[in-house]
Amino acid sequence: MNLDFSIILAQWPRFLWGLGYDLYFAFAGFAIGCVVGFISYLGSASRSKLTRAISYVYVQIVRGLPMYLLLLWVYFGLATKFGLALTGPQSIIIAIAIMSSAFASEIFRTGYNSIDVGQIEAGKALGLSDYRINRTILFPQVVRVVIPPLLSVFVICFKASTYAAVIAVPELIYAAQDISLNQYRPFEAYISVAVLLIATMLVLSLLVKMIETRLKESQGA
Amino acid sequence: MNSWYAVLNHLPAMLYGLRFTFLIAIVSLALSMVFGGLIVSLLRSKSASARAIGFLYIQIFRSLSPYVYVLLVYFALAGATGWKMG
Repeated sequence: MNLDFSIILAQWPRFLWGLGYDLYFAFAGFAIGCVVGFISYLGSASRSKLTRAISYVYVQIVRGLPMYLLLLWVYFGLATKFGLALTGPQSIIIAIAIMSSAFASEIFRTGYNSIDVGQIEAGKALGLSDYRINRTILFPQVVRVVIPPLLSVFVICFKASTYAAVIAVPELIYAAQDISLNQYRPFEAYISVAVLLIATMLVLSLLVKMIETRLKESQGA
Repeated sequence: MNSWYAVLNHLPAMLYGLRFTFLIAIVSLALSMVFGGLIVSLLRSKSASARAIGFLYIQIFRSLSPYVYVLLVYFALAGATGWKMG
């Protein structure tokens, strides 16, 4: 087997730009997903049966769809049916946001459920308003519970961002596909991509671990 | 609404595709159990190097999306070994 990584080294800036794009798509999609997920959680905690049902159905449907299908539906489906001509980066961000919102909704629900109802009753007994109970009692505790699993969702978003190559967004995999086709060096191109992705994922996983440890320490203090 | 007729016309082909999806999932699950069993035995081994190999395997392979795996196996492995896969 004749390996030649000099072509890959010559294209190194393209790989790094691609990786930067992947991180950007993951972050943007994740941020929007967290907001939508929180709204979905509010729906699931609503007193209205209809709102609860809508939120439940949304989460179940989105969780049941693979990322690849979501992306094709956003990029091609929305464009043909509703005339929404979205660009590749817009589509991947929306698809990641939809996917991560379902996970985030469930994480927020778990976070709020983990808090003892007695604390809300105690707040009410002290004459605090619903807003103050949420802001001063519930929210600080919920944040500590939801941050570690939300960071894991970010890692999933990063992995999902590689699907952007399917709709010709010039990210990491797309750069590798291009090099693979033009230089016919598929092994070197895809192995380099894998190494870059693994290294980034290891750094992200380490960051998640560090934040988790910090949160545990602050809870213990 | 005419576009739905096109989907309905291709329903048998889609169901045939669904059969393949299930087949791929079942075969992959069976193989993953074999690989998973091997990795567990590595992780439970008394040898530190075997445990390190098991740990590295998990860290490396859970970092990539299925799309990257497909490209790696289909193009990279085929390009490197000359093995023509279906």
